[in-house]
Amino acid sequence: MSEVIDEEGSLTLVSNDGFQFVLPKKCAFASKTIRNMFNKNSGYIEAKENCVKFEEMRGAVLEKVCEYFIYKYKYSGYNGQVPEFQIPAEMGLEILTIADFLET
Amino acid sequence: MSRRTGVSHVSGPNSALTEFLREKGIDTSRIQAAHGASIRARNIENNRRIVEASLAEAAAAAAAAAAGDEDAGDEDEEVGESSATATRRRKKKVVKDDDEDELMLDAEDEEEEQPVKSKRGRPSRQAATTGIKLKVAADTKKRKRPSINYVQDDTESEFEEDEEEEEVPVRTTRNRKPTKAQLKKKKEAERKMMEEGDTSDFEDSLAANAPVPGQIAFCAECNCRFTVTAYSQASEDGDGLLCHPCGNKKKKSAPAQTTVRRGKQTPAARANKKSTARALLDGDTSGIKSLQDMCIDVIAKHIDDVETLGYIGSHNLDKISQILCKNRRLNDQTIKLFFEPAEHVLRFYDCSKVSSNSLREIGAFVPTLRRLYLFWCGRMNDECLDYYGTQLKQLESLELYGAFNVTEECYVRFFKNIGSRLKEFGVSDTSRFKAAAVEALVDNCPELEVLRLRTLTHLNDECVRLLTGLPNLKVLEITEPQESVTDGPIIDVLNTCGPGLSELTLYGCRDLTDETLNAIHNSCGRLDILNLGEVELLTNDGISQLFTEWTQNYGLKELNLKCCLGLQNSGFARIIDHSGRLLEKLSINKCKDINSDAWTFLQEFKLPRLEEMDVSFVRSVDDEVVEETLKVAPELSILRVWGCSKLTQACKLREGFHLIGRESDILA
Repeated sequence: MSEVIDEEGSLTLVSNDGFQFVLPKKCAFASKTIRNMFNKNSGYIEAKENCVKFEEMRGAVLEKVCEYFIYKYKYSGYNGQVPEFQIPAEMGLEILTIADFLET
Repeated sequence: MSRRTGVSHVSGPNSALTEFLREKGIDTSRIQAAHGASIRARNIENNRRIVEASLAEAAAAAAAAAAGDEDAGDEDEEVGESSATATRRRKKKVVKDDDEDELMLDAEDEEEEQPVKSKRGRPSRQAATTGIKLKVAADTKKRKRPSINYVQDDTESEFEEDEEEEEVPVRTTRNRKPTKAQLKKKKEAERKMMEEGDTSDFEDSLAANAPVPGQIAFCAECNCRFTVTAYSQASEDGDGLLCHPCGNKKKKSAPAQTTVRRGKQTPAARANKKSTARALLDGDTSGIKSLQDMCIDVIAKHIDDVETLGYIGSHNLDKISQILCKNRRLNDQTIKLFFEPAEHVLRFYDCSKVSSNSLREIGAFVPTLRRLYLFWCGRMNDECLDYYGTQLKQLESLELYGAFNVTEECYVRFFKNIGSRLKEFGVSDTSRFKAAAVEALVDNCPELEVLRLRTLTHLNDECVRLLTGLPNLKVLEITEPQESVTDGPIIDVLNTCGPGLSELTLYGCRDLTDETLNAIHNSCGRLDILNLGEVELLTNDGISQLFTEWTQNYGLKELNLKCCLGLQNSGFARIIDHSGRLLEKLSINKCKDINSDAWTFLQEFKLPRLEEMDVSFVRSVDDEVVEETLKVAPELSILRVWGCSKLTQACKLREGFHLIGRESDILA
């Protein structure tokens, strides 16, 4: 199945406690899972609504994930000193499982 | 006296400096002669010194007064210094080492002259007044500065030289004997300067045949008579020097040229370069880590606070295990985090801190285990392995590296217990795995597909011959046997299981010869990976014949010929001709006879799959070879070039390609 993915515009990520994060698609597509959702040929409803609801993520974690998307978009291909991405120790395991799910 | 590092050619016992000078076409004998003359002159002067001392002071004072303004400017940014200074400074280095004795003899003279020389900028008036007072002042000043960083030191010494130069006609030697530490600092500073490629002034000055400081000359502009100093500037058209007033004028009109001279590498840039080099060595390739890797780093850092890892996926579990082992933090507590009841694979890469009891618990907590890899499990004992044999009912694959406490009888019992279930087995670094254990393995586990025998003390022909009883082998590794393993048994083994082998490693089996290659040629049709590293008796003919008309084999994916010193261009050509299309990894580390012919030959071919190549210590590799190889191997991402001294920073690399071991990268 061929890929038809529109990289323009923005999308909304919603956490299970109702927080919404709007960010450019280009950034969010650092996650292969999200990227696949927006493949029009695969017929996910998310592709039409430009909105993904994550039932298993709370706001704080999703916020960190979004921060990472922006961080990655900003610094990939940059040759200088890249600042470290801060992950609070107590969130490490939680984010790890989610990062595993998001394939990022 | 090798103050200069980073010279690219290594040749014989010449010092790096000699090499450098020769490269630049500079004849050292001239420098030596000039230098010798100056020493002689000094000695003569020495005798006349006392008589002329008073005269000298007056003359020096006058000259220093003239230079005073300039010096004040020079002190902060070592700029206005003429090329002659640099030359002199370098010459002086040479002198200094030889003349230390002389300097010591002159120690008493030094005191007398101190007022004139030391005091930064305005010594002249003082010197003109009272010598004794100033001497005291100078001494205290000296004591007040116990630690001098090298920049200061540098400027100070420059100044002193300057003065000395002015006094050459009258004075003989420097009055202060530099301490060892100061000498070292100076050398360091100079080395740094040279490393930064700041050699132009050196060459220029030699070429221009500049008048030596101390001489009397006539100004190119106003024609007045003046004493040449280190700070004398060259005139506009370049064929004369300017007197101090004219020089000052010129400097004011063109200040820009002087400011850029020493573009010192900032510490930050140097640190960055170093960290990049370190990342390269660690194989840290991607710029931005994935979020998973970042989390794993965080978890590994706080592993002592983790209560349970929960379900994070086997590959993440493995990554955490790798990081913990790398940091040597796998111990009796942390290892328990990995005991997930339904796990199929467990790999621990450094169990040296894990007790036998904890290792035994693996058998109790993870009974579903199919593959178990334990590296450096030196504390494991018989009881533990026996427990695995009875408890792990699904175990198919076991690799125990460094379990030197487990006895041979225990291995025999284990093989009997596990029987034909065992498909993969690896063992290393023990002197208790002998012929009897091999025999039990062969008798009880006929289904064995993977066998790895690494650095075993008692692995010999007898053990190898027993392996003929394993017809299903797909991977055979015999690495660095401590006893002799010869052609005969290896050929027997290849004749029985050769057709099924996909990987053959005979690394460090030093007694093998071309006959083994012949057997490989005849029987190993499916071979993908061949490792013949450090099999030093192999000849070029043998390797050529292996790859000549090897029609039953489609081509190798990995080939390691590290230290096969016999390999020559023709053999290399055969390899590329036969396997070039499929090769993914190639090592010709230390194959010293590969030269430009081979590289030219390589250009005719495509290496479409080559990802990793090791050409370390192949001296013929230079910038061009790397650039051309990059053209024919589009997928090449790692090239190891340790000891390839011809490679320079100028080599053009592409994005995402890693050159590991380049000299200029490491000598930051």
